[in-house]
Amino acid sequence: MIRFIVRRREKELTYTYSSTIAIIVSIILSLAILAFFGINPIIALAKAFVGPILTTYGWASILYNGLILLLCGVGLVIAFRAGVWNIGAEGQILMGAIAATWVALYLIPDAPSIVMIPTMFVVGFLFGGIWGLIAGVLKAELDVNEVLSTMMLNYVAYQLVYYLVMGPWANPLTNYPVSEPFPESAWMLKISGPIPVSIPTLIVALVAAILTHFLIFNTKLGYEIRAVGSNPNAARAYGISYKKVVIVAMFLSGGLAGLAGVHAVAGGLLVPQLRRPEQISRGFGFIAILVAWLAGIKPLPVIFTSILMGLIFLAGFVIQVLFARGIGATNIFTGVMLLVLSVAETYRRYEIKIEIHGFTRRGS
Amino acid sequence: MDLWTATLFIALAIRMGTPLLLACLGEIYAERSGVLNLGIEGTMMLGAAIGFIAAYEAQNLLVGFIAAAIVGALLGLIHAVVVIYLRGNQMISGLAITFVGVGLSSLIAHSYVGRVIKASLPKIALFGNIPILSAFFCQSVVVYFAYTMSIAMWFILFHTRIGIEIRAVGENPIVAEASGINVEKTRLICVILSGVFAGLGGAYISLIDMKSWTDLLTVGKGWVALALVIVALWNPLFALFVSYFFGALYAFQVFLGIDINLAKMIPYAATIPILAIASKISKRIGVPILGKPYIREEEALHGV
Amino acid sequence: MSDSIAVRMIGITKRFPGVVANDNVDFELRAGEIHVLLGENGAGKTTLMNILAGLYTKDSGEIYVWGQKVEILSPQDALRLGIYMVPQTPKLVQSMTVLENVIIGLRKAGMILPTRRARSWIENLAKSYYIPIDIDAPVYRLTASEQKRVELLKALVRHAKILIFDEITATLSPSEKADIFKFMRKFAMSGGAIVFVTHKINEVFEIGDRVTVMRKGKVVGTFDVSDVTQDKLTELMFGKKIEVGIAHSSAKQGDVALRIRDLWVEFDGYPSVRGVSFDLYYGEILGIAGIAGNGQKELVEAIIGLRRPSMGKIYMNADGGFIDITDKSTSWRLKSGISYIPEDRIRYGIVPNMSVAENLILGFRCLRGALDGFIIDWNTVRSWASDVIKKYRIVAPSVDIPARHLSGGNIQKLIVARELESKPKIIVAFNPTLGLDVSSTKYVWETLMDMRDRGAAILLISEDLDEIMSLSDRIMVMSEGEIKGIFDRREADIDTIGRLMVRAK
Repeated sequence: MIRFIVRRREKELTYTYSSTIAIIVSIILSLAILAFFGINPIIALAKAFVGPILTTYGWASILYNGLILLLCGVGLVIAFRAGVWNIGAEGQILMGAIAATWVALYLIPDAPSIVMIPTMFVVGFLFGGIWGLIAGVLKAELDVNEVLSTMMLNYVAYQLVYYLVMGPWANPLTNYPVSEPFPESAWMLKISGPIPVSIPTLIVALVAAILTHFLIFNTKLGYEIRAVGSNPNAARAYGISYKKVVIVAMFLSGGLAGLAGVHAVAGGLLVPQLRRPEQISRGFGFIAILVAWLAGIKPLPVIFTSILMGLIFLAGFVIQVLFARGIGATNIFTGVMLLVLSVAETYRRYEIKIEIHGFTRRGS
Repeated sequence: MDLWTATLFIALAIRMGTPLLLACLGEIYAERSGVLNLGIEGTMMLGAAIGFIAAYEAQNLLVGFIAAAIVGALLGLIHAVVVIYLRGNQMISGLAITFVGVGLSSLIAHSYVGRVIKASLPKIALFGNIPILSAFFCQSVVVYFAYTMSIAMWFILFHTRIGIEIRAVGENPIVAEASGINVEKTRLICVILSGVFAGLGGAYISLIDMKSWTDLLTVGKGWVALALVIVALWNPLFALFVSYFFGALYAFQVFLGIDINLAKMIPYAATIPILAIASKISKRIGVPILGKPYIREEEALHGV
Repeated sequence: MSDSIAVRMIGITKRFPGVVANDNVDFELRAGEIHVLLGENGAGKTTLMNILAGLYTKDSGEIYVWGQKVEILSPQDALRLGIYMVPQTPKLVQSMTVLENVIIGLRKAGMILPTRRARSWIENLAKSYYIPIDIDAPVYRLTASEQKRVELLKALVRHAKILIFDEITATLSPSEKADIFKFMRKFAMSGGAIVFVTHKINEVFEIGDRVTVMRKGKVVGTFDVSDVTQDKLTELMFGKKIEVGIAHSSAKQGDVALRIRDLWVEFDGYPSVRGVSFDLYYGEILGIAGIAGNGQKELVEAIIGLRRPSMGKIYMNADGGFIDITDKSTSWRLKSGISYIPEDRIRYGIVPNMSVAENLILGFRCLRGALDGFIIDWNTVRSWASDVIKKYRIVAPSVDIPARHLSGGNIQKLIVARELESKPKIIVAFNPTLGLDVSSTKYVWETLMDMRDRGAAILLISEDLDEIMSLSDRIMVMSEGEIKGIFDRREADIDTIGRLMVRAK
């Protein structure tokens, strides 16, 4: 008989400790799985992990990914603190991308960068926020399980993007499912000068992280969010509006993911244009869950965990490109990391002992 | 539309709905016991992939289905152990399984893209001359399996002691434990079952429906199945109707020629109002509590 | 009374973080006896029985059942040994029928149900033990006492020979209690053994053959009931002769504080509060007595603003004039001077993972200066919190530790402190001392009396008749959603009130 004995720890392990171990274990485990399919782990480590951080291009990609994860991750911190399981960041990113496309191509195509870029961000925040709001309202007013509603909204957004790039917004000059390219005023990298990172996004993201930290820990709204997330019964009993908190949290969370979507489309090295949804969000909405958790659901550590995950994601992509059999490497990394993390989270709060012994006489 | 066109349409709906039904049935049992298994999507994908490989190598579809069932059971086992015994978060673990399943399916089956299996499984054809009826009864054995399982699983859940115990575990695990049921073992079995059925559902797509494998073959079906579990109010018999109704929606696209991308939205978008309604009336009937790990009373009260 | 020993527990020790719940406890149960396990809340008696019933696992010690040494690691093990615990609140699956609930976990009921034989067997069993019940009724439609009967039926069908009754009389009317005692006597006479856990000394003499007294985790004595007196038991339970209860000073009643008129409140589509009207005055403690589940919860929720009444009005009289507060939000009411001491302190009274300081500002009523705007000034809050925990004698190493680390009594003190610091005009106290030890109970009672003397209006809703009788200036009885009687303190007698608490004909 195998018995699992799980006992609450008197003192919880720190997030830093458990997150570090989780990351290391996941990377080892993932490389082991890939090795099973003929991918040399040493080469993988060298070329995919160490390689990118030695080149500018590598850092450009890491930061490009990292900023998306940073914005989404900060948004998820808000949602998770409110006790709302927002797994709709994927769709919210896409809505932000749609917003950016609309602003750049149809709303104010002739505006200069100084107007264009902030407008894209604002509208992106709104679109993403509304997408999150739908799930928030459903949960607040009708008690609809947000895991399922946000998941479904992901797929609706997904199809919406397909519809747009293959239909009304399709680029007439090509058969590929893409929109027309944005005017140059919308190309964030163009105004970053020699640095291959989108400065506007960098500013927006860091400000967002700091503001969110301040919101959660130093304001009454943040207190209400934390109370609802921790004990909704007591929060309600003492006058905190559960509905308000859930709706606001989902709106903010969706809005931040929307910002990420704007950056995803207009802040990278590729020509800004709306393209296939899987090339825009690439699973970042889910990876952001990891980012938020690894950071202990706090906004400031998200800055570090998002960059780290940006590297890991890039590593997975590099492996996919370098090794013909490597497709699915990013999914494996993400999946293994989520799995390890869920166990690590338990391990942080509980002692886990596994007993294997023979049959003992129990009862009569 | 004449009767025979309608028949074709229904037959197509059944073909598209059967994988949904299979995945749904298993997940109903998992959720009835109180465990959410978000890994269904990845399990279907991996079941489709491994099922295809096994069937191809053995040139025998049954082998494929068995392999898919085993793979599904393994993934279910991982989820069960993490969530039940290690108290992991149900959502995160489920998502993890989906990622791993999707990733592994690409990795493993990559070289099998484009291959064809010559073998097949028998069809059972009844009422061949009658329109409408023949749509339901001229189908593969696997479809009959799905029909039978939904009736059987409905009966077990509501009319046998075991089914009552499963429902008790999901609705009130502390009561169930105090009445002498082993909550953990019950959940373990139900979650493994959900994996098995998801694997079978995926294998149906690669072996019967599409008869081939491509990357991301089953994409999205697992998520719809999860929503259907709720729409069916965790009732295997309702699942039968609901899955085929959604199968009809997929079939709809082909016949009505709406812009295909908008049409593909329908199943997902439709789940939202239905989720809202189901949420409202679900308080009258027994509804499982999902997402909460089972903590013994001793621990809940004293933090032991 | 047979001589065979049903259960022997030797040297049982059980520790929880911060407390030794059972300290080297010995306990023996004989066949055919009703053995009362007596002790105040927190003495360790429920813990001991939870160990016997398989809900808790002991840290050390031995257990013998019918002479055999056993390890009881789960409720299944206990059930296999014929041990069944009848809990204080029935543990039933609400959406299922009685029959389904009884059959859960019962191998001999067969796989498919309901077989006719199983049904009639169960029905006959119920009849022979004075348990009138309809086995096809869904449990959520049954009353609390009917649900208790289902628990008894569950014990019988499992051929339990050892029954543990855990504080079950708390929510029973006198006639229901008599029925249960009848059941217990028959059970004991047919050779079964019963442990009857209680904190009410009079019940020892009503039903017990032997009594074991526990205090602070230890056994302080085991006696034949014929060999002890009430005083001796009191002394053993509490360690010295103390007056249980407090001296009641007379009230100085002021104006009307709260006016309830024709209030109807629904729960799950069913009216729990039916046309309730009363006035609450400043300077008094108005006690509402009643068995749990007769609408008290919904009444409290309506007064606090957590539940909208379907009909009727609530008025508050403050600062010159009656205001209709029926539709006002909880937040408004709290900020206007209504305070709430909730029933389940951990679930409704605190946010366990937040710090003591953070819990003290729940509701944003205190410290108007630091909490006015959007931003929280934590420095001010924390230093105020330090002062508060000193003032109210809350035992906590710092204001930053999570509230869940506090003991039950200190959590209640935290809640009381928070509510009183907001300078309330009206206090709604719902079972404020449930599960508290004697000194914490005394603290809460004294605090409420003190607030009353300072002019506050206190609505005390409690299942504990002792509490109501000790504190209230006026007493109302609530039964089936209605007010069945209003008494002045001097006119109230327990029998009348007890009768009103049930459907009296």
